[in-house]
Amino acid sequence: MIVAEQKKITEIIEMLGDDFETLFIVGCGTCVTVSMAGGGREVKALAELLRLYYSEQKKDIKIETATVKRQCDFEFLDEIEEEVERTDLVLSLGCGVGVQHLAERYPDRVILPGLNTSFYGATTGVGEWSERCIGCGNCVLDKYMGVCPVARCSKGLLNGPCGGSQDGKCEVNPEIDCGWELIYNRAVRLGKLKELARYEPPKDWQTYRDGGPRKLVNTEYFDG
Amino acid sequence: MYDVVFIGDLIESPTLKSLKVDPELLLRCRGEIGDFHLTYKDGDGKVREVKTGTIVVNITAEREKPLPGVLSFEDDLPEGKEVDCLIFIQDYQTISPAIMSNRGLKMAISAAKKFPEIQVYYFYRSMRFIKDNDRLFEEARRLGILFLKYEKGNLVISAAGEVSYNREDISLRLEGKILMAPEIKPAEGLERVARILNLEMGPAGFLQVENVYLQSTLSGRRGVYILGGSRGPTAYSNLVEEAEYTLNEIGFLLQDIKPLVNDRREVDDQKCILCYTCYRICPHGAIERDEELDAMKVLNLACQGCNACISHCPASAISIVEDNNELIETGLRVLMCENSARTAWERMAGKDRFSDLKIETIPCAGSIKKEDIYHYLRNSADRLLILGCFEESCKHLSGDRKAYRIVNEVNERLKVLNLGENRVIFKRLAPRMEEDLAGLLSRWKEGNCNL
Amino acid sequence: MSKIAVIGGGIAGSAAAVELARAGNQVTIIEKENKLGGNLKDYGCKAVDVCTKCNLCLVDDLFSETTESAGIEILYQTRVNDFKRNPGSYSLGIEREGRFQRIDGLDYIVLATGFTRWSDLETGTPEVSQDKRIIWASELEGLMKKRKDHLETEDPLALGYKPESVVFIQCNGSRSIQEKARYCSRVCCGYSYRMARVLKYFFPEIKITIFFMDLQEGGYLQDISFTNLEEAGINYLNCKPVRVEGKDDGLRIIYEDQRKGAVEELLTQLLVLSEGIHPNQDNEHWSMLFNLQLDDHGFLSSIEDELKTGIFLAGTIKGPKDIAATISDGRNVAYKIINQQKLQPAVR
Repeated sequence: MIVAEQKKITEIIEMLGDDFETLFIVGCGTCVTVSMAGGGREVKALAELLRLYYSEQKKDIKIETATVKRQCDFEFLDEIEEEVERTDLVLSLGCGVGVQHLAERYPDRVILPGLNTSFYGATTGVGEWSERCIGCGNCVLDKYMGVCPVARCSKGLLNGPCGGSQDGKCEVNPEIDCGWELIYNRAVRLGKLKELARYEPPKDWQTYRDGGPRKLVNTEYFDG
Repeated sequence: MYDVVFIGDLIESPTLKSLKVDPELLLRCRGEIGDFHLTYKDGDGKVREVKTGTIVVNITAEREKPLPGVLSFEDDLPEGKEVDCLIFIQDYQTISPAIMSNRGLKMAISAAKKFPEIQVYYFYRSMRFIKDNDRLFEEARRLGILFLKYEKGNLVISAAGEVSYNREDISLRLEGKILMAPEIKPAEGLERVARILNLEMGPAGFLQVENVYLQSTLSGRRGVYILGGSRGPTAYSNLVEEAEYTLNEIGFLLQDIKPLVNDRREVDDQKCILCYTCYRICPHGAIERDEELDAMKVLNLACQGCNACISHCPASAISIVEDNNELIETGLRVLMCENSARTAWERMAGKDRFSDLKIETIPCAGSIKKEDIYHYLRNSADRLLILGCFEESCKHLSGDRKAYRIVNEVNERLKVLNLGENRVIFKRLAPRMEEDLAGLLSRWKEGNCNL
Repeated sequence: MSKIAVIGGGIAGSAAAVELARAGNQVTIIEKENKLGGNLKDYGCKAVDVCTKCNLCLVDDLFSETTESAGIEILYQTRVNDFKRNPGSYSLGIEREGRFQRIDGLDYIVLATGFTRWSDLETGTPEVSQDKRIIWASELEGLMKKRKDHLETEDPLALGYKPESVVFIQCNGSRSIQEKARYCSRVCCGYSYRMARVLKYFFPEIKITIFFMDLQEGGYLQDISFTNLEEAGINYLNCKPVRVEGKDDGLRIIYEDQRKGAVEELLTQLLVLSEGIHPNQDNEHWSMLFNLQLDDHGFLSSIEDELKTGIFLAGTIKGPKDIAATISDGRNVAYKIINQQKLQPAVR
């Protein structure tokens, strides 16, 4: 899923500026709820904090809230049309996709981002997420024992470790597990160490961002 | 339907219908006290599901010899021939648990009786007393076993197995058969069992969580008990009594299982996104996935009412039925955990000194929500004091730590927004600290944040 | 439903009574004092920055449940001095406010009169009454409570002076043939360890030393080791002192240093004596009244199967136990009774 974190409260307040009387905070009920950044509870808490802040600033700001199932589908965004239309500013607690989709759906309104979208990751502890995929568009996990060298080696090396890792940790940051050590260990466990000996030619990055913004079409459905 | 399933060794009971499941073969656990559903592989590798009222984890701990080549207190006595002396040693790395004093004394006594011509030495740092150790210790001394107390440094065992003991007034060099108290280590796979049963792990890889309420054989999850070597080295000291007690408690409990809390916590299946946060943070293993609704559900008999799930659900999907969440009052509010501060408050004399404070009882400090805290602080004179338990004495295991984190988070935000510092304070208290409570309430009332 | 008398309103008695009442029995607690709680009424919480598992929290819940339970009647300041087997039931003769009464129709009796503190026995250790710098562990409880008003003064423990060092001596009243207690009381090591940690936490400048004969486990959760003591900044000596001499500048404690094998001495301004668990002074009375076995040390055990006689022993009346084990034991007695009731009604 997409992992995100809330922007600093001071940044949000600065971003909102002074020129508004009504604010609508929209949460998203999917990925960013799971990563505890933009779900129903975060929306409520942020609204309460802002109310407290503006009341102590002696500003009369009206704050409304809602959390839609997914900000990346227009059908859900239709549900909040009334609130969006009657408020000066919309603060999205969705990922970057959600913010843009809201902006697309409501071209006349100012839509602001409340989150920093971080990465695609998995839950690795209560309140902890770790990056597992960069969305390169051409999956190579079959060749690397199910551990992605593109996402999990800091240098994205495809043909073995760099030589800078120590005690299983990456030289870029000792908090990070060396991706190649993980690949190696799994290969040993699976009895497939030999497979790692083969040479992997340079990756074709056209499927990634290098080909420009991507679009995906499923011809079974797409009626273009 | 079984009364109890033992994960590990079975303990016979004349009245309870019991089953033993090998820990390695356990696959899944669903349900709650009175109605656990356990999935496991039987001897033929066939997957089975059984229903049971309770579960007892009773896995023998591993034994590790402190040195290679020595005998353990749990091995058979060596042959007496060709041995100059027998050297018993306990407490070699850390102080051995009392059960090892018991084993060692018994073994030394039988050695002294069997080989009266051989001198038996017994080195120890601390003799520990359980059961009849007092009597055994006396008997052993009467039999002429030489007990020598050592400190780190005055007992050295050479690689060749020679034992030397040196104090200013005694110097011994002994060559003989060495018998040592083994170290007790968690069984392999204990962690896996904990994960399947959704139990918190304790220190050193055992299942006994450091919490005053989890005695004597309770786990955080109602109806799941932890016995003996699964709990830790000292859990062997009263194993017989604890086993008897636990089985009697199970017999009693299964007669009539009542919920521990009155209000049901309900999950709104339309809001629930199955993030499993509640499942992970519930200290009582009281939450599981409702497969029909495809949403999480709170198990009513397992729930102990701490409300951590409510305060932590990122989708705000969990609530108490008929929860009256109207927070209008402002001023100086004190939220007291019902298990610690509230008891101290009840015991405290002179409550009228604090009649201007708004005192509220909460089921656990971990139940506080940050949105509610912001809501409480509506005008600049509002302050909030949250009183919870000391670490490791929270009835809900980690409520104090949860509260501590939430309050820190809130204070950080208030600080950067210049909304005042120390407006929200979290403080730990015990039920018998009524005098401390009176003191800290008066200081806090005066605006003193150094409580 | 049965009619049950619980003799003794301490931990074991209350634990048994609560469970028995919860299962619908009619329970009468007979307590000789005017308050529940037995030996630890006045003990204080031993938490430092974390809980040290003194288990008092468990006890407070227990006593409030006991007093609030609708199925429990508590007779305070009442003594039991007679016991009769009537056809089909038992009867107890009690003395209350100078008047004699009988409780008839009893199906079960739970005897849970606990232990006697060494300090209550008024034997041995004459120094305690002579020198004010020597106190019992239970007296330190009182001083610790008073500390709140003295925290920042020169007299933090309300002693009248500020001690530079505090010394605890273990096995005072246990494991000694002269003192008629040849056994280990098991709870005192953990107790002194917790007390020492509290002292160290509030008064880090006070030097603390504990004399142990043998360091015991500290209860279910708190295993004490020499490393724990070192980490807590508590000095320990693995021996029992030979002699204590009262001098003007303090108490001189003469001891044999095990490591060196030499006689050493230590000066302190406050000496705390641990209190062993001793058999209840009434145990002989109970053994005759209910036909119970007195062991070598003076603790009681049942001669016949308790499920057959309906007379149960609970808690430290049987021997040393810590708080948690005493609660378990009290409850266990209740569970045994309740589980038996399910199978068959009691007929005496």
